[in-house]
Amino acid sequence: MSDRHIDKLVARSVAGDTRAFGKLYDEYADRVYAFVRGRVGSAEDAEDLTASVFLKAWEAIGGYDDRGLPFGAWLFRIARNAVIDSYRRSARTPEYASTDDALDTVDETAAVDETVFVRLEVEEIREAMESLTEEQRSVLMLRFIWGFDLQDSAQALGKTGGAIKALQHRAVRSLARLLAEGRDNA
Amino acid sequence: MHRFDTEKSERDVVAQAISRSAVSLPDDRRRVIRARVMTHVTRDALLSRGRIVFRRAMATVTVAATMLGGVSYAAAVSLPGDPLYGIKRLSENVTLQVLPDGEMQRHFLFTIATRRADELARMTTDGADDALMLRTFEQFKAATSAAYGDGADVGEVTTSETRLRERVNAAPQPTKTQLQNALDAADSGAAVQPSNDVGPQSPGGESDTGEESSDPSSETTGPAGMGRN
Repeated sequence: MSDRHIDKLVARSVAGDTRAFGKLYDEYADRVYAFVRGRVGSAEDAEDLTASVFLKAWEAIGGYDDRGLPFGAWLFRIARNAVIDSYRRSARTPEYASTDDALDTVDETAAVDETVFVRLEVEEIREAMESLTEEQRSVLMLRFIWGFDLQDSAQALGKTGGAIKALQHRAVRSLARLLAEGRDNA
Repeated sequence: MHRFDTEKSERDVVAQAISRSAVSLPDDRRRVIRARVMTHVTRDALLSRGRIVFRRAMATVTVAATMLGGVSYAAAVSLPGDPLYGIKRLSENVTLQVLPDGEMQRHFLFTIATRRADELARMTTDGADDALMLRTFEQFKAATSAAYGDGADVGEVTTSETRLRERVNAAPQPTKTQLQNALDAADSGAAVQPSNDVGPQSPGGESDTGEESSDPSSETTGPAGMGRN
């Protein structure tokens, strides 16, 4: 779906058009679910959270202003906040490490064998993703699952384009190293 | 061992790995979540629309009560040419704007026509200026034409129409006959030119444009003693 088409659906939704909002759900449901599923323990929790994200979006869309934030970035912020709120409600500690700790562990000079990635199992990749910081995982999700460019990713996370670029670089390096280590240990 | 040649190739391979690992939402579960979301959204939208209709109705009541009751009884009973008459006409047009289309609006159009008939009856008794009476008669015709619409059945607005006819019947001659003729013409959808000119009149009693009606029939069908008579 083109950006222009999405803009029209958003404008109609802002005016109270429920069918337009339904189409926005169809467009973004997979991406929202993929994001929250990587953060919560069960598929049921992820479904509840996905529904919650869209309900919050509907409640807030009357005040949405596309001049400030692309709709996708706006929706991602809602999803990210919903995940954080769910952690708070369940009094659980987020499963990710702090940003500083993760950055310190990255070996910038380490080279990773490309063939390792080809043989990787999906579960190994997910486990490695869980070892990244929350921001690193968010950046990778936005860039590679949601298909955001640097600018939209920056707006979604409230950072500069340069910061996102650096964050992505470190996230990729960290993930590559974690996956290579996992393969070596196997 | 094959190493990554460039940072880009490393990023691309990581991107593919992440894409592979992303948990997809099964179609049946997507539909279930959609139903949950849309049930809430639709119900919320219906409630919002109900609130909007309620607010409009309340605005109508407020406008009518404020403009014709609480603020100025003098304006409500004023006649064309009186200083407060413009406020009376302004309130009518504001009310028309906020009323939803349909039954409520038609009720109010008959109310406006009844007011014009009442004004004409009082102006006849008072011996008002011919030009002023002619202009008021034109507004009476415009209101009745809009109230009857395109030959629509009076139906739900019968009470308002009856009230109008009773007021016309109580008017002194020769105004009574002229009003009845105009009323019957509007009811049958003939002779009366459809018009939306039920707009406000200035406090001095002049029309918005300051122009007299260019319709020759308005002078020949107006109440006796008006215009060229």
